[in-house]
Amino acid sequence: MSAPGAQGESQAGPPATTVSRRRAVVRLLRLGAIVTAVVLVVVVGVTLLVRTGPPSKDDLMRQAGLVGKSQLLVGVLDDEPGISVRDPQTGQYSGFDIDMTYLVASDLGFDRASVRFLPIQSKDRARMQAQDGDQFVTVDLVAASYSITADRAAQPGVAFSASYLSTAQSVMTRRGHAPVQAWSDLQGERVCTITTSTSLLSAQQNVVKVYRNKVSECVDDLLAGKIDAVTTDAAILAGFVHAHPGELMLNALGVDFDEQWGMNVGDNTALRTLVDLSLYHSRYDSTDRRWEEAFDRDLRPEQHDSLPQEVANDRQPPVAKVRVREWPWQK
Amino acid sequence: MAEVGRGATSTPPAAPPTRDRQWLLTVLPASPLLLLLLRLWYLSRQNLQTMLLLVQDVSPLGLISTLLITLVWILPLVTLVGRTLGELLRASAAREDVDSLRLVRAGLRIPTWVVALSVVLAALTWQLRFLPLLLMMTLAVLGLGVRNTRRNPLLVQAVCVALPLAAAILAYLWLGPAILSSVRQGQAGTALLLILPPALAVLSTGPVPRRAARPLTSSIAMVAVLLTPFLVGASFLKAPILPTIAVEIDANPGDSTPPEVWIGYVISVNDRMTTLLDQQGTVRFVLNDQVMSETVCPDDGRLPTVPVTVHGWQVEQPMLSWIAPARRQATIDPRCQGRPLRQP
Repeated sequence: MSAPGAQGESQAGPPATTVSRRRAVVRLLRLGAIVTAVVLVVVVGVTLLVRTGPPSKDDLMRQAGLVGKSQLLVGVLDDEPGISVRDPQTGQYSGFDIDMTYLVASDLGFDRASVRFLPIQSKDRARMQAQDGDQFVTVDLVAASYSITADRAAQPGVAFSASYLSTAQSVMTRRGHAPVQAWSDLQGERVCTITTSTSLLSAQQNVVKVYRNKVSECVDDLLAGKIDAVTTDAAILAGFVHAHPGELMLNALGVDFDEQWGMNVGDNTALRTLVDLSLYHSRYDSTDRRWEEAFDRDLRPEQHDSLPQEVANDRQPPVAKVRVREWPWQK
Repeated sequence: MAEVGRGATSTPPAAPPTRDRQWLLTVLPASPLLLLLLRLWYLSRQNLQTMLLLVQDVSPLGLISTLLITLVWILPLVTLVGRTLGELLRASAAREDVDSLRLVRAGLRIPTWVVALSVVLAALTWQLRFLPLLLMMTLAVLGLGVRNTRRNPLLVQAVCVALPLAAAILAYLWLGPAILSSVRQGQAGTALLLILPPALAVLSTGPVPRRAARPLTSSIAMVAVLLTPFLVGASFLKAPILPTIAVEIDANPGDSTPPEVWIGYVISVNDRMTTLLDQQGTVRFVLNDQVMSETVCPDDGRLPTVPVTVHGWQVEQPMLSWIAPARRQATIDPRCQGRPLRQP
């Protein structure tokens, strides 16, 4: 007995053997197609059940231990005008690092009142130990003009977020000092930097090196005439020049903008993803102007006094795509 | 159905021993009930006392609504797979083969209007990435149906060859950008779901080798019967049946201590107490006076996992979600992150 479908196919003209052979091949192909479809459905179905894709923002918040946390503790410097400075009268912090912290914190669901800034020493940024009264506490995040380098990233407990500012190294001298265009122009002079700085000073042989724990200590010495120059990132020095425009000046060393500042999140990789996600949205969402507004408020006014040195790149550094599950309209 | 009286020959097959299957009719309405109880047991973290509390307070109507919304996509799947297998076996094998497979034969008994309704329901409720599969199954049911019942070769050629070819071309034109995007992003599963079914649809509208027909259909039916309960169970156990609520609780409303924020489910509220169940399965009773505020927290369980869209339509969204307006929540409520609304 033949199937009804077969009767429908047998009305063509070619010889019966050719027709039946062709029909057999077509039927085999159909069998293959159906088996393929079934295998596809089963394999994809199982994969969908097992694989859930990248984590969502809520998953990351839970993994980062931020759910139920009443305050976000952030370690910042307290002596760098324009970057991160504490007003001794009000106790309020202001500057570009502070604005970047608020940017990230607001994306993490912390309003300004829930962000607690604690002063941190440059040497403690890797260990994330900040001072709270007479105690040292471990902070959740360090945003303290911390340049991303391979050596620092390799230290235990250090994990950098994506970069949020790109700047260059520079040299600050008193006004009246001959312009410094290369290290050789400082031969025999006393040059100060901070102990844990990435400054190129350490590689120089013909200068007298002076190390301090804080940049502001170097600047005090410079203003007092105890030293001849201070070297560190231009974005840090520009704030001091802006505060003392008649006394200090910046010199362009002609080096690349290779100082990329990042936030240290320690061992908390989920927090790092969240910080990167926040910076990614800030970089690529054209309606998000928070970074640009922070730059215009904190760093752009310093540019005039800092010439010929450029304070920092006025565009947020690129951020790699972050794999997080989001609604299409959140991207 | 046209199968009656067709293909019958002089030697009718021996009638299979009839078995009493009336008990199946009793099991059928009991299975959703079982599923609901299983869901409550899961929600109570396997604690019988908590489960009894839930049974007492949770609205059965709400539960059944959740069950329906969560599982509405399964009904067309069962109907379409059953009908496709039935038509395939009927087109490929002898009458006695069709008769001997009860499961497959049942598919042929599904009225055509139910099948048509299933296609519409599936088009609305299936994720976009499964719509090419729906297209394949619909074309297979249509093509095999025409082949089985009509003798006009021109009509058979039109429905079984020309229509699938045209549908495949249109599908590829529409899905092209999404296919490229999923291949570029290394989303193999999504890419295969978009690429293969329209092409396979061209081959799915005719009979398969007669010897393979019976084992093929019976094994697919068996796999489907075995997998469906797992599929139903897995998708229902993950579905939320109570809204996630953040509650600000202040044990001493008069003093300056910040309120505690508690996240979980509100089981019931009476004139004195609010009964809460947290996500770890702990039950808590709170005086109504201590409840400062409540808010509904967003559910991210249905967040898309694949970053592929077709002309703005995310591949994991069913047509219903795509056309219905969605609320776009931009800011995070601090209470949903466990922080009180106002800091002291």
